[in-house]
Amino acid sequence: MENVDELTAIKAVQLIKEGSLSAEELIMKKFDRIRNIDGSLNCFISVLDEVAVEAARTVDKRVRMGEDVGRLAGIPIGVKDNICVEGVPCTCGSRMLENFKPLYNATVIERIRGEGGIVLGKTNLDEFAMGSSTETSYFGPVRNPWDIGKVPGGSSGGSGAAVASGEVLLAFGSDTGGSIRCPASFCGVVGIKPTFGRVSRYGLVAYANSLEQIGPIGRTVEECALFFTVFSGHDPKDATSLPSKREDYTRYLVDDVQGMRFGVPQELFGKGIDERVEKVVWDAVKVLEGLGATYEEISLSSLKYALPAYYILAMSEASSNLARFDGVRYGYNSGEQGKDWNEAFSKNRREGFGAEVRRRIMLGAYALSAGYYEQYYLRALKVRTLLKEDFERTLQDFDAVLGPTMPFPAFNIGEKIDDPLALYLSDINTVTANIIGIPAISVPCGFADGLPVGLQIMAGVGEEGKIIRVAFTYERNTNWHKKIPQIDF
Amino acid sequence: MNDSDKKESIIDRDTVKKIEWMARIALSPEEEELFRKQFEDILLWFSELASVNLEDVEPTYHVTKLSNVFRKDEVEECLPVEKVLQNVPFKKKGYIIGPKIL
Repeated sequence: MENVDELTAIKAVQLIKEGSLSAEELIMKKFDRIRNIDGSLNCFISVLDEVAVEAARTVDKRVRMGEDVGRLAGIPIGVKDNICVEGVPCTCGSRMLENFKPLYNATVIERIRGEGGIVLGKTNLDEFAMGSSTETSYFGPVRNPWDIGKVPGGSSGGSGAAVASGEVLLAFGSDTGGSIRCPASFCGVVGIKPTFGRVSRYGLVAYANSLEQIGPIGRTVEECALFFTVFSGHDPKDATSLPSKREDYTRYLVDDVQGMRFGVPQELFGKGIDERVEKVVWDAVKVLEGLGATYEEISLSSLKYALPAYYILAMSEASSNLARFDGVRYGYNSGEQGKDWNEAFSKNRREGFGAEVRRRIMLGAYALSAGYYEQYYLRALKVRTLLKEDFERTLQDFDAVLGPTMPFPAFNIGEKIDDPLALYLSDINTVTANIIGIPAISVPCGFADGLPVGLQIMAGVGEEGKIIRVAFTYERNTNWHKKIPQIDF
Repeated sequence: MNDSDKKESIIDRDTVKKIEWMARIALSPEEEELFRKQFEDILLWFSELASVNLEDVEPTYHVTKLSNVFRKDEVEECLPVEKVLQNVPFKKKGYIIGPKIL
């Protein structure tokens, strides 16, 4: 019997189906793990003890009866706490939704449960997914399993750290400007931001609708491809869902990049990049070259405007989306009437939202207001057009674009939290994929003084298959994904 | 940031008050001052976009080419009222208690 802590989801499903590992045993192991280490890491906001054990027993029973138990049979999965699971608090890491229990499941939850996947718990995040360090949660910061003095990245920091530390095998993240790829990079795991519209957003608490997607986080590309296959594809409940057929992404797990061409934009190695990260990422590009691909250093000049454009769009959409939280129909209510409803709402929103959420809503309201709309929001939408055209041109010549996911490894907890602008700047390499809706993956490619570094691979709209193939080839020919943090706290 | 950059600054306390009203978020006086400074820095950074030549560039609101998506106009089952009211902080006899209007 192999060490259960080191099983991949692929292997675990196989053993469970054979009957040589019980789903219940696997779940209990993960509960033990959470009990032992999550006091230090703070990855989980809630854990579904009884429901998860019951689901595991059902899988085991069905295995004994010789039934088909599904592609994720018995796999413990972490769910970012902005994705609805019926009856389980969905807090979004906010006081505003501390006691909110969704009345229905997100489509992605229905889909994984339909394939035997088990929701183990809800993972911690930056409040309403607004952040790059998972420090703004009302439920406290998450810590990086490689060094608990460091942030895990954000906003899906709980999901990234839970996978890296072996508390779960797979986890859902959501990515509005890098929120899956940043924690994947900082925690040394794999994360995919899908093409916009590839995954249903039904049941995802909205932050910036035109930018965000739910995506997979796992230790390996292979596991992410399987997980992603199960929950992606058209959903009539999401009007922005792409009407294409469901696809099996595991068929792109091909160890071959022979003849592929990559563009490496100098802008992704711009001001502020850590030299150690630069070196590690270039080494990764050379590995792919050694496997028969070619690369060219290129320039994508519009990239330098991506970050301010992203923040204008994200904040504007946030101000509109989060207008729904008034504390009347659901959410935090101070219990005070005030002199009128404006005062009552303003008090609920002041006390229910943390500082970063308030900042973003307020700046978004300003950017959309009369007299400033053209100066900020409209300009950002036009920059989006430039970026899209620039990328489309580039992707005519190249299969994919490569670079560092994050310009530096994980930073210290508390280091940037008092300077919002400094924190925004860390998203420089990830936001473009969201602005123009293309898929991107972060895959572990080495270390900078003991902290993981991620290689980002981006391709054109609908080309998840291509990024999975490149990342898988890289993974198959390197050993970074086998490095696991030594947890001795 | 040097002083010559600062002259573009547009955020004074009155503007912060105006934004509080638009966003329906009441700040404490200390926070008003902190946010004023942070808004100024962030908006100044946003102003970098002023230097981009965007003449004849159309805005992209959405990246997919989807337009209206319709479904059949069929009656479907709704959630029961008790369930819908489950998350309401203050309620009475199947109604939601809101703040007073008058």
